[in-house]
Amino acid sequence: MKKQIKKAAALLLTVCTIAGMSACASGGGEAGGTAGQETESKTGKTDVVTIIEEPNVVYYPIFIEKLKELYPDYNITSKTWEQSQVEKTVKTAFAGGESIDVVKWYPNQMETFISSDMALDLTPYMDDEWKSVFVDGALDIGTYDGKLYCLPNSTVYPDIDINVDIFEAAGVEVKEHWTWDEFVDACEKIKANTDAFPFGISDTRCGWFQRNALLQIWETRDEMEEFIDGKISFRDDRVVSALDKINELFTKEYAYPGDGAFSQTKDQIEAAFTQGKIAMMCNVNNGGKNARKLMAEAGNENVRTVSWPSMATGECDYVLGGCDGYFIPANTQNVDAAVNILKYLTSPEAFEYQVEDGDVVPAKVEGSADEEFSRDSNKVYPKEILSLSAEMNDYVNYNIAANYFYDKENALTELEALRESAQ
Amino acid sequence: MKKKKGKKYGKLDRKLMGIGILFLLPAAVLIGFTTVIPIIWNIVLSLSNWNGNGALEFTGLDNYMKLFSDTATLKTIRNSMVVAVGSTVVSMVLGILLALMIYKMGKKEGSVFRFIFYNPSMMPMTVAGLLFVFVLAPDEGLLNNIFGAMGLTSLQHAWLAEPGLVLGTLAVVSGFKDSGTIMMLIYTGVLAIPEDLFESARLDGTNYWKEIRLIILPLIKPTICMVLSMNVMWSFKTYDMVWTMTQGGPGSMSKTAPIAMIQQAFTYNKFGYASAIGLVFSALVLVCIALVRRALRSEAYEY
Repeated sequence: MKKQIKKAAALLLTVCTIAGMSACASGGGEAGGTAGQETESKTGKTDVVTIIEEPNVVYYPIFIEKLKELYPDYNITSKTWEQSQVEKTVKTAFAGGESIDVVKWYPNQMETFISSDMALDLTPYMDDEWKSVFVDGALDIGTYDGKLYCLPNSTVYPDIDINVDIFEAAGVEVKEHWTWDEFVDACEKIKANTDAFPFGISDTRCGWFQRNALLQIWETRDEMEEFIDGKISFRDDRVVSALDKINELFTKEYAYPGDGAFSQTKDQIEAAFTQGKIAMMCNVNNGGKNARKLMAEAGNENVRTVSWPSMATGECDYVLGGCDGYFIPANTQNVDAAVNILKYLTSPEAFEYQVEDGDVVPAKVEGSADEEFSRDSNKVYPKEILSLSAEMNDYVNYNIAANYFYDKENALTELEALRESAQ
Repeated sequence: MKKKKGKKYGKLDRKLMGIGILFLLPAAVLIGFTTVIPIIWNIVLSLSNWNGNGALEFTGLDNYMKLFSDTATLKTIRNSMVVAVGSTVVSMVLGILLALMIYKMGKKEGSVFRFIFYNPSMMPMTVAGLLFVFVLAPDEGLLNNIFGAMGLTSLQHAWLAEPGLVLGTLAVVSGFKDSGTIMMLIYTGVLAIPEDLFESARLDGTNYWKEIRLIILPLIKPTICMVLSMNVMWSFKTYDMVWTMTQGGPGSMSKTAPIAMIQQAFTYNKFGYASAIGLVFSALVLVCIALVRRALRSEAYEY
């Protein structure tokens, strides 16, 4: 009797396991799938998943609540947005046949999703009424080969927050716009006349010096476009000379904390700025308001925000950047719901919430951001060498500064290899 | 001439075998779905181009050819090996030393120190990584400040930002974190040695160092071999620790093979190439484990 019970238990266990496995395996089907097969939850509501909610940004929870009020028939699941995880999450979900409906991403860095047909073409849904919300030309940044894939929601570009007290102590005049030489001169004076480091830049932003230089060093816009299209070598004298000039900032240890300047986190840089250890903090325009708040809490309200130093001598006085934005993955099973959500997120109401929080938005809405945080928005050039390939994007964004500093020749070889393979 | 006969099983044996197989079946199915099928799928993928969406394009050995000529990827494999070897050496040496020290302690203080030294191993990798980012920060980090307070400013470094130091630092941190587990496994092995052997040795006038050299280490050699194999495997797979502490930086100086694989697949949409890196890397780990086991192969003592 005991043996029979054992046998029955073993058999039952086996059957359960096989059934469980089969159930798991049958969920996927073909990877990716196509858009449009609407999914409903058990309550009869349309399931919608978003990855837009960036921690510490006040307006995203408001947006989610508003969307729930506006569309009670949608069962909205909001997942936290974390830059390093977004690509992985979206692509894993895509390969597994799961649908994520609205994702926050950068309109000028859509190559990674477009090259594998993972982004939905929004052109058919962009009617005149919706288009009229945006300022002229704003949608160009998310448009690839005539198709609109990503809608911008805020204009972002780099600038520099300045601790004016340190500048005054060093005998340096604060200028709203400055040339590269003026910036280097200021660094030299701060280093010589104060205990502070001239500037601090976080690890993920170190490439901004190079990215700005690669937009500004050309005599004409045509030359710049040729470089962006990969037709001019990284070994071109103008490029090498600009990269060498940037290297000097780090060789002379102007960047906090000297050794290790390429590996400082954003929090470490902010802490050093509030403690008066650095005179200038490389920041984004949208982060200026928060920097002021942190400095005020630390007892220093003498802070100004100025433009990024320019290497431009010709007609290319541009700055890198563009926008944060939203796109819809191509396998969304709730196209209409995703588009409705996107329409709210890019509505005048949503943009006004952003403006209240200090964002510069690419939309025609009431109110405007502080002039200090929006002064260079008209200088943002929407295209960069980054768009050549996902590999180039990664290298120029995150590796170029340290790799060029420690091994110039190898960095140039790697950049050339990436440029040539993208042709 | 006698005909060679196969082993005969009785009715009871066959019944027991049947029940055994039946009980093993669920585990076998589970392993099949979670390990065997993915490995086969990985092999297929490594011979193809796939961007995560759409059809597979069979490309033969192209991904492997590319891998062996791609210096950036080969560098990530080399970085992984440096971290793995360094981390294994640190964790084994530290783990064995701690186990041998704790063995000599009394019951109560032994348990307190076991808890203290095992603590880092209980911590999630990412938490331990973040803690060490603060400890090793160049300006405000604990380590540099201790050196500063001691007047040893020449020892202050940007531990996670200098190309010559970053891999070594990662190896030491990773090795330190794993040392608690190694300590517990070795300690368990030492406890299994009969007390009589130590008593006899003491009658012959041996000290603890001789006990370690002549009794403990030879008798726990199979445990050391098993622990070392496991440790090599863990160390090669290190991803979360490196990602949390340096994200492969500065630049790509500390980028390891697992990070390269994830980037190739999820950032560059090159799932086939990522699979090829994964398979070559796995083969390398297997070779290393085989070498380690062969190097430590010896007769087992019965006691």
